[in-house]
Amino acid sequence: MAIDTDGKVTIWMPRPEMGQGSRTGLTMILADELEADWDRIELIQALAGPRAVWGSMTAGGSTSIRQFWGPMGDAGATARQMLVAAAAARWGVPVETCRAEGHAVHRGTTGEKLGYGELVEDAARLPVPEEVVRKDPSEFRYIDRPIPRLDIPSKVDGSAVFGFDFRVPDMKFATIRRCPVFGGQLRGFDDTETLRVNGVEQVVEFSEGVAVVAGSSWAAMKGMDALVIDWDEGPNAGLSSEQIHDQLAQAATEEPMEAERTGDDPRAMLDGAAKRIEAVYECAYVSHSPMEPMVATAHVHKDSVDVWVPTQAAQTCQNTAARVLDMPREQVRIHTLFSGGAFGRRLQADYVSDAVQISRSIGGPVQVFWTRVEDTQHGFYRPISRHHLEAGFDAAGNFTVWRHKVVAHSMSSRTDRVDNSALAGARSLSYDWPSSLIEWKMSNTPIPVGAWRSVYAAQGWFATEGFIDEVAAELGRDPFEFRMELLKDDPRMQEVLRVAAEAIGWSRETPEGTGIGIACGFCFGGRVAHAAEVSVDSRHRVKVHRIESAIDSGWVVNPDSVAAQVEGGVVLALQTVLHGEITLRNGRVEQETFAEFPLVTMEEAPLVNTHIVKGGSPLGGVGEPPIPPLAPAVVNAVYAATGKRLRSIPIRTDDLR
Amino acid sequence: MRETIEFTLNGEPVSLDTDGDRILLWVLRTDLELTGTKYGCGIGLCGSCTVLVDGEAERSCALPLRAVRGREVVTIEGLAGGEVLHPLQEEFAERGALQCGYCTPGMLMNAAGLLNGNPHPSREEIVDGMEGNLCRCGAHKRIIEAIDAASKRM
Repeated sequence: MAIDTDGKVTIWMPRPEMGQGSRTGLTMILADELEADWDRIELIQALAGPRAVWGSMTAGGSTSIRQFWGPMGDAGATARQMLVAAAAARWGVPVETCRAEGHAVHRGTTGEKLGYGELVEDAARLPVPEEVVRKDPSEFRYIDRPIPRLDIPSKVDGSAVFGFDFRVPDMKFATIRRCPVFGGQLRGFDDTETLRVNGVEQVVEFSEGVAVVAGSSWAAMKGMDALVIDWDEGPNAGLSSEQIHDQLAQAATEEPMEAERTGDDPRAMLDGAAKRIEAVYECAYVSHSPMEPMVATAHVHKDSVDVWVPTQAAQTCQNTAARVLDMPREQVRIHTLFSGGAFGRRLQADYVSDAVQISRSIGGPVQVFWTRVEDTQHGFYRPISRHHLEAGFDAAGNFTVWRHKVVAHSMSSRTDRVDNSALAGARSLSYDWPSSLIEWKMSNTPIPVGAWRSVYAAQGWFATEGFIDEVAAELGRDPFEFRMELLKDDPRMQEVLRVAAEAIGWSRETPEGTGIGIACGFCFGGRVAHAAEVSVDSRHRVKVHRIESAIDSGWVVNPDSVAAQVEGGVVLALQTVLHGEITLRNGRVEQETFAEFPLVTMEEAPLVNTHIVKGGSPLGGVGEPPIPPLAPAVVNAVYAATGKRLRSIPIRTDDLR
Repeated sequence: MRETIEFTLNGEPVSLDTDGDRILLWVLRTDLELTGTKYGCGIGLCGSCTVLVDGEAERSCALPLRAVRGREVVTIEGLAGGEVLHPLQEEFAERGALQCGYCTPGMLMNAAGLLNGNPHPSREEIVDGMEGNLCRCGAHKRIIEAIDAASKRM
């Protein structure tokens, strides 16, 4: 950070803005500790730099506020201490008699004050204090207040610069095509017709495919439409969703790895159970599909490169460009732009690799953009998964054992050990099972997968929370009360459940064809419970009317951003319940646009009420925790409405017939 | 085929000597350097590219330039009256009715078209009128509330 002699405060922001509000939250933390006036702060998005200086610059895992609460607050507090010390020296009085407030240092109760701009030159010459003194929370002026996001003004007047909007003199525009079959490659192309398109300049190959370079985006797309491409479709040309489904079903019959075991020998409990129930839950591949497709502008110079890119992971972009161009990392300048949505997709730097290769080929600046179709068909999808659940009961009808076997694509691809990240929502839960067995079976496919908001937690919790409802039903227990009993060691989870249940009016009677369901979940440091009210009409269509959400992520920096993340998480997760499915045929993604991969519309979006529960320290994540409990809350509500269990998302109308 | 196409853009006359088959979205973004109007899908499914043509919301990704000859086009850059934001912009900002903000220009222009045709819509009419504009971040509830609030002020 810097303060100039006019008192203007400049903050170099390490994390990107994709609409989640972290840049505003981090500014609030620093400004609060600095005692700075809100309207005298300017943000500069930091260029990608070394981890040793910046820490991780990656917005992922709901970490931006959590990881920078310390550094941002310490920066503000340190500067405040130095400004106070400079003022005390100027006045020749003890530091203790001076205090910072409202962008100035005040001398006792004399009414005398010196502005930060007047003090900064003196302060900058002082030694940096060894001990950082943070404010008492009772003195916070911004933290825990609903401060409007700093990125909003430029987003309502059209001036915000996203990836597609970035311009640099003499730049070209290029669009790319990758082999539609995963694992295939370019064999050749005929660009005769392409080169006849007005505005098209050249067609270039890069490691993953082919690009049409033109004077405008439109010409590049027209040129691409005219390009005749010969693909070597490779080994996956016959791959279909049916095969992948069968592969996972087969894997589920093979010996799994034991991931966790609690209580009395769960295998013996299952063998000896007087009654057992079992169910299979399934989750489809899901695309991120941010509203802004992948895009990056690159300018490769003689011995350096500039890349202007909407990204969640500037350092990954820097490493990727350095590797692709065989250039020292210090020569790679990554300029992070606003992301038009991300949800995990922009943790990947594949589109940066494209852009720097194409810029190098043409010897100048170029904006490399993907079409919607390319974006849909070349994602890093939320992994498909299959969950086998089993519960055992003794002769007296008591619940005695819980078993959850997860079969999924592993991003770590390790065959020698359990992939614990893939077992989020399945293992290490705070449910006090009488006994339990959690198992893992990896089943990888050639389909690229990646982190999709909440990563594996949504799939694991969907199965867990759906099946808990089934166990409660088997026992004739109220599913809310049953959860509360099993969660006696996790009072914070009990509290979010209680708040959500109360808000929805849990125990009331609902009209014919409607129902209320509840579910909870924990991931990335946040606990969330959703209570859902749904109806199912005579044509078996599910409508989610209202979601009451309770979130406990500890301390709150910006309550309005927390509410927005919960509301947005509900809608994003609802898409995976109602529509979101990527399928394969002949090795290629069948969906092309929002026609085949529909998003949640205004009519489909439920009313969402967020209840923030401040359960105490530490600071938890906010972006991802609202995702996992949504799908199970909805299917549990559908059960309450119809008596039918939906165990596969997205749901299908046929499942309700 | 090159031709001269004249129309009004955000209140100012524009004359372009270009191929009239070209699509308005890309003419705005490239030739006229107005990048507020967004590309989301290119086939009229998402509404990110919505502009007003003679006061009605139109998908600029599906509109040949020739179709706006002699007509009045307003983009997000022209929605405000100079320094004074349109009530829709104020309400979107006030209520945080956006996250990433990429769909927002299209949302605002579609809402402006909706209110031009029906200044005081019911909540159901707002939902119905916004049904074709997609948002991935999930600002749906706030968007509807912001349009409702703006319509009551206008």
